[in-house]
Amino acid sequence: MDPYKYFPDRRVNEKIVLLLRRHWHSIAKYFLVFILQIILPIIIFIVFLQFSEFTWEKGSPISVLIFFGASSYYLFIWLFFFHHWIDYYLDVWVVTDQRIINIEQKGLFSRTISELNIEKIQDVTSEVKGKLATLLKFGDVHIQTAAEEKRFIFSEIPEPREVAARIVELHREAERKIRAHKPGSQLHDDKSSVESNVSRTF
Amino acid sequence: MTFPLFVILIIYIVVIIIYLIFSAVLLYHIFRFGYWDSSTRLMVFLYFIGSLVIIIATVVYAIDIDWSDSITLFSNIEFNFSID
Repeated sequence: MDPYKYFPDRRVNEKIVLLLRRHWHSIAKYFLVFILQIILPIIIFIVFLQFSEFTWEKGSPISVLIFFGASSYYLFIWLFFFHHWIDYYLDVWVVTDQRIINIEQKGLFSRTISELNIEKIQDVTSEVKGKLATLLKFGDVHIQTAAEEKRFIFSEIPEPREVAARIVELHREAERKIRAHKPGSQLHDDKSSVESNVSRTF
Repeated sequence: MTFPLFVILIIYIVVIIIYLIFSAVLLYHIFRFGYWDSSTRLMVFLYFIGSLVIIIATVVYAIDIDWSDSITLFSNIEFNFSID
């Protein structure tokens, strides 16, 4: 898998450190709704057959209407589930050694890509809320830059504490690098070089 | 309210066309912004298979239908628009 496909405007020597998507639970809840949408009309139809005088006859006009209605309904719930999966699949957060890129698919015709430089980060907060989130280890990571700027939110990502810790670590490395390159600076820490092959996909 | 049965067929064809347009847009998104890995291939394959199963089942059902027939809906409802 080539993670660099997610952001074609890659900078010189920029390396992906984290490639994040929402936790599988966020697509699983749509899957449960999808299963319910499949089963419920069948149950309602069986109950309707039991308690009404209607009998299913192949070729009768009412049966044709019901069959074509059901066919259209199932096609569209299939389409909606696929749409939810694409929405899940195309929402990506890329953390590199230089910046954080938020790629968000909003519906069918809207796509937002925003980024912030890693050295501009002021505060990183991880949040695990609720029993399910604690059990399945997913939550949000809030990244704050300057007060007037909108903060980044990685919502429902797996292992939010580890991700927050890694971002803080990257921020420190970036700051150390900047200080090392300032004229007159004595700091030349070898550890400040960003790890080359650290690429994790959750 | 009585109307010819083939109206249902026409409505269904319109539904299929809308469905195909939305499917094309979704597939465009995958090819344009996504990555052609195994999970994507599996999802696209399942999507095609699921759609084909529904459409083929409907076509097989539609073959034996007498489309010259007509359908009456809401025959028990009487409309009275007169003002006394």
